[in-house]
Amino acid sequence: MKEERFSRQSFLGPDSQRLISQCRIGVVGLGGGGSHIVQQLAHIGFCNFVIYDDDVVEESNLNRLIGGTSADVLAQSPKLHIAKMMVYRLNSSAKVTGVLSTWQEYPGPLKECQVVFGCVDGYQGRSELEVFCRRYLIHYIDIGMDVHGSNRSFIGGQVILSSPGKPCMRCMGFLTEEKLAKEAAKYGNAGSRPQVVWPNGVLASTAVGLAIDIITGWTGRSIGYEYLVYDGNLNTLTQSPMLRKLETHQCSHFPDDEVGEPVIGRL
Amino acid sequence: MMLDVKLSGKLIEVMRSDLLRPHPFAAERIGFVRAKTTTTYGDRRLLLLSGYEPIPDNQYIRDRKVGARIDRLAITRGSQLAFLGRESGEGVFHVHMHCSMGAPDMSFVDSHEIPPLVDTFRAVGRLGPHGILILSSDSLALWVWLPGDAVAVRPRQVSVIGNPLTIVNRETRL
Repeated sequence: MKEERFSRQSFLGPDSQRLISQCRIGVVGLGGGGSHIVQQLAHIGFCNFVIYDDDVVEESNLNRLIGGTSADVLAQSPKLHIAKMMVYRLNSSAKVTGVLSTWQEYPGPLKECQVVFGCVDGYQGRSELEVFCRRYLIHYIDIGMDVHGSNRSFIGGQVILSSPGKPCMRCMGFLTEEKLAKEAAKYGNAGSRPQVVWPNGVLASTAVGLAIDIITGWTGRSIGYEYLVYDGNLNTLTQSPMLRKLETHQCSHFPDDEVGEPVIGRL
Repeated sequence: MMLDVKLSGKLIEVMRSDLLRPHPFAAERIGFVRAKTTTTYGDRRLLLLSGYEPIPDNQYIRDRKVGARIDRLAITRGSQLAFLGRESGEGVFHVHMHCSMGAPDMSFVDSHEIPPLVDTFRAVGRLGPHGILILSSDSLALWVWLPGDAVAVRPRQVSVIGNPLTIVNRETRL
């Protein structure tokens, strides 16, 4: 790729483009959030992608699926193909390992990633992805939004960074056994969740910004973990107050030496 | 076969802070770090480094001809780690540090003294990966003996998962 393409982002550091191009990035879920993320990563100059989605484009996706068109609905295009095309149109020599299944069915390529973006539904899905990323020493960046409220609607969301050796989503109070149990009790009755494009854009952009900071170190901040709470009604993104308690916190949920495939030991 | 390596930024900090501590008489320090391999896809393998174990001060032997020499208790502990790792497929890596810049390489002493120790680990824990890790002031290098391999391999890429994230290819600095 021509150097001129990235001349406007040279403030990220003299070595930033090399660091970005060497990084292997995973994106799990290529819907409203994941499609934003893939587009931005491709623009920035990432060259090695591992992306997962087993779904096809439907009419109801077009209000927020970046790259999705009416023709894709007619053709029942996989969201994976839309994401791949977005990358290749910007960088024909990019290496995209695209998996048309859930990541759990074929996790191998994801193990090699240094950063994984989780754009999945539900707490259980997030929990499983975080466990995997801890096991295979991967920075995990989670995004999600929801719309709740009965008489009046409220848009909420989060951007969370969970890194090996640092506080996890349970430490940060985002994942709790209560939330997981409530979700399990509703299994099969989740319904269609309200989703719109602009909160996804805010969250995806913030997540990409976090990743760039981790990869290039351009801000000089040493971010070990992050939990940003999105209020879509007030248009704010603020750090969760839970983080104040975590400065000297040692994560007890993911011991540092538990890596790789879990082993079933004999009693 | 392509081999990549990952370790956390926290592990690097722990190893550096131990290896840089002055010893009463040895010029260098040595430690052991545990490691596991996993297959990613095709013929690609990933080595994950995890727990570090320092060698106590009283398990070094005075020897002015080398930077550091460990005694039989330390070697036994390394072998124990290899033995304990048999069920989980964990191996043991000999770790020390060269206080120079750039990608470190094995010294004459390293290349003669450390591989026989690694052979001991390989004999005890045949199913685990074993090897040598050398840190420098701003980089690192590994020599990895995978199960069944007679010759060590050098990884294609080493990723230090910290902040900032660092990816080391042979000649890259941390």
